[in-house]
Amino acid sequence: MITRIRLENLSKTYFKGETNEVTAINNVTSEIKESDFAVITGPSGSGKTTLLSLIGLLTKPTKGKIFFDGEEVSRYSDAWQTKIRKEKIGIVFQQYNLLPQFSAWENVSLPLLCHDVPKEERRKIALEYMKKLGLEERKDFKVAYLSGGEQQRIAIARALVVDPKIILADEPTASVDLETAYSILRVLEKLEKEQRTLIISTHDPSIISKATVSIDLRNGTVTKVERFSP
Amino acid sequence: MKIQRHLNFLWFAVNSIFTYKTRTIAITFSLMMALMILGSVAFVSGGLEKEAILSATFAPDITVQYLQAGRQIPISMNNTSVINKISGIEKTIPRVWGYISQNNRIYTIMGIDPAEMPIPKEINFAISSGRFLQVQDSEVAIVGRHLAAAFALDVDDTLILYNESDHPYNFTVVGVFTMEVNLYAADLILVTVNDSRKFFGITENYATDLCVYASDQTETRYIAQQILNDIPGARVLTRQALKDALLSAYGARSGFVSVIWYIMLLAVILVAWNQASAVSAEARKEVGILKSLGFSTMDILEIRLLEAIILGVLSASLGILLAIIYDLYLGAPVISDFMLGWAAVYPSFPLPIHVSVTSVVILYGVAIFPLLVGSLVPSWKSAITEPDTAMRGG
Repeated sequence: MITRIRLENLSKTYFKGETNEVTAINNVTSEIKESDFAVITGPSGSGKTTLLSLIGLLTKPTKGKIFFDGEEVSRYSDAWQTKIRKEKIGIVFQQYNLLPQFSAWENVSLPLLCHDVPKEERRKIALEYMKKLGLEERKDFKVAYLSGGEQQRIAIARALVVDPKIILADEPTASVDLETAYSILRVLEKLEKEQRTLIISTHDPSIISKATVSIDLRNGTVTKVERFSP
Repeated sequence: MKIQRHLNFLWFAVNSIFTYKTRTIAITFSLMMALMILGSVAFVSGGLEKEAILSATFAPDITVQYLQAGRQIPISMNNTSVINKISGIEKTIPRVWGYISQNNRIYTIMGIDPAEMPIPKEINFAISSGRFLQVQDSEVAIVGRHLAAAFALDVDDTLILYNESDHPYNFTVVGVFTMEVNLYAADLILVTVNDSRKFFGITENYATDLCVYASDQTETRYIAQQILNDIPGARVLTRQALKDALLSAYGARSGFVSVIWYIMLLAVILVAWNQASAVSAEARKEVGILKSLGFSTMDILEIRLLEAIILGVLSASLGILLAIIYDLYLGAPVISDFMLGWAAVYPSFPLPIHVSVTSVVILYGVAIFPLLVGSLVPSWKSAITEPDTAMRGG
């Protein structure tokens, strides 16, 4: 299997040189294959979100390198990294990060705005993904009127709408009920079968049980990497 | 189709404007009010400026007056021969004018020599009904439009004026000036120089002004200098000097207009900057989210640019519309008192309003530019920040 993502001696220090300096990720080296379902586990504050931010090119590493398909993307300019995010990465944030001024379907279709897709087509594509996540009836609701679980599924639909090769999800089932967590899990399983690279930070045993690779973090350092047979 | 992306961003911008109603209303209202005042002043000032320019058009190339103890007194016609000796002079003709008070209003009686005075082609635009003075005319007058209205005068009616000795003089109205020359002619009664002399009791050897016409316009300044040298104590005004004086009194260069413009411009900039750049952690977070979804810095700036343009155009359009209503239909209360304070004892007349393309363009610029800067700079700062930091509101 082709290596999709390679992390090489990756470190991230916030507030470097200041009194409140924090090293969130410390010398992480790891590899994630093309159709891996990778989970990043570890207690709160272990650096899971930071590692996902680094892989999602949302922040630059203080040290080390990130490779996508063999190319070192961590040295790319902001514009090129944005292009990579636009074309290759879908991100599901723990806090959903939806825009309140837009309705559910409009939020889902946001990434399509910079893909030259006209409104009607955007709506059509967004509704398709919303249907898959059982959100069709909520399409015209402002996101503020949706439950946490519904907002999480909107965030997942938004991450999928441009059909990205890499999907990053930060604790997608942390703030949802069991039933919603189960429906999210089914969507994730389906994505895995579509030969996408899934990287999920989670504490959820049901998600961990589906993973093909598990990276355990403690204080920003990888303590254990386990690879499971599919 | 590349245009589609821009249409998508326009959709985003419009959606944001309608969603953040409080912010939109605050910006639109503040800008609209500021633009209304600016526009109102600009349009009145433009009208006055236009009238001043038109008024100066009717002035002679050079006007020579005589001063004694700093006050204007009649000038001897003997000076005509002195002036005519200067090379480049086409002719020098007398003009006799003065003020009269009638019904607690002050009017100007201006006596000219229709046989000698060159009649500019613009005079056709200055007379709304009737005709201009003719050589054989006697005891006839052309009156300002508002004087005509105040005395219910029309062509062929008789205007009775009383001089300082309360002696009545009858003038037949042969023409009425247009609104276009209100600044100059609202209070004007134009008669022949002989009638004016009789009315004011000025002998034939004297005039109020000597109107000098040069054969070559480019020599006017040189001739004016020569007249000053040859007639000590004379006040010599070129047409250009008169135009400049009128413009600096009533036009954009007048103190009041400048002060209003500077204050309001500063207010507009502060309001727009404050409203647009009051970038909350929420707004910075939005930029971070958009970047995480694949929006480039340029995409984000385009969205903010569209928002600023829509808000600026909307505010400016409403402000300009209100300014026109305020000036044209309400008579620009308060502003007119400042700008036409001199007219308190003159016949009242509607403010001259001139809505020029230039002033409209400037007003739109004044509304849009500060908004653009106020929106784009903070957005650009957020957009060049790492998405992770921006999403944390940093």
